Amino acid sequence: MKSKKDLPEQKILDPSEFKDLMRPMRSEYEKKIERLLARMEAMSPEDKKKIVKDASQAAGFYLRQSDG
Amino acid sequence: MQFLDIMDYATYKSASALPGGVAVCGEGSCGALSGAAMSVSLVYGRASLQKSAESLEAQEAHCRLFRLTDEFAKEFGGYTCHAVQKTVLGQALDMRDPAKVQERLALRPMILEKSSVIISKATELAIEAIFEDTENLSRFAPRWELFKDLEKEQW
Repeated sequence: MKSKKDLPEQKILDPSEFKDLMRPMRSEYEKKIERLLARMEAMSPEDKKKIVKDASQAAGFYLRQSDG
Repeated sequence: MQFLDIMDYATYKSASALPGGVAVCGEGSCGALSGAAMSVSLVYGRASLQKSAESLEAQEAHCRLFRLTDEFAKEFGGYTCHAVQKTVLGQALDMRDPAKVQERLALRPMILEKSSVIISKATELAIEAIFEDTENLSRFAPRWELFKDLEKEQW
């Protein structure tokens, strides 16, 4: 079992260190967001309405499914 | 988020204790509203220690939620779980008191039915907020004028 002294020392990060820490996680997630924004550009108003309607119905279904 | 292809395990898991106004305390934000705010912020929000007033991402997430929060409160009578319950159930429930379990169970079918309406509406508002053209934000969030020319944060 590790003792406290074996644990890496944690410190308060400055903004650039904070960003460095977040960067690998950001990189993966932001690819999804970039794909979404590109997809949104190509959507017609009807496509958007359909997504709003389908997602809204699904949310109600999932809530009942998971019992709240 | 499934319908926008941005599902995320950690985000889904982190929302577990939001229902009931955060851990069923009743006086926190309605879970449907909190979830909607999380969804919009997932797309447009900030992920750094950049100051809020200097962050285009933080301000855009805020401003996109102005109409959502206004419309939610208009439809359901407020922002908190108890305010919403008073509107849709006619009473605010004590969801923590074990002595009131039977009372809550008796209302369960109605609660689920009403909750599904609330979550459906919150989802609709969240996706509309995500789809909203940036050019339109000033209409319902006048403060966007102060922030719209900020530069996107560089990573």
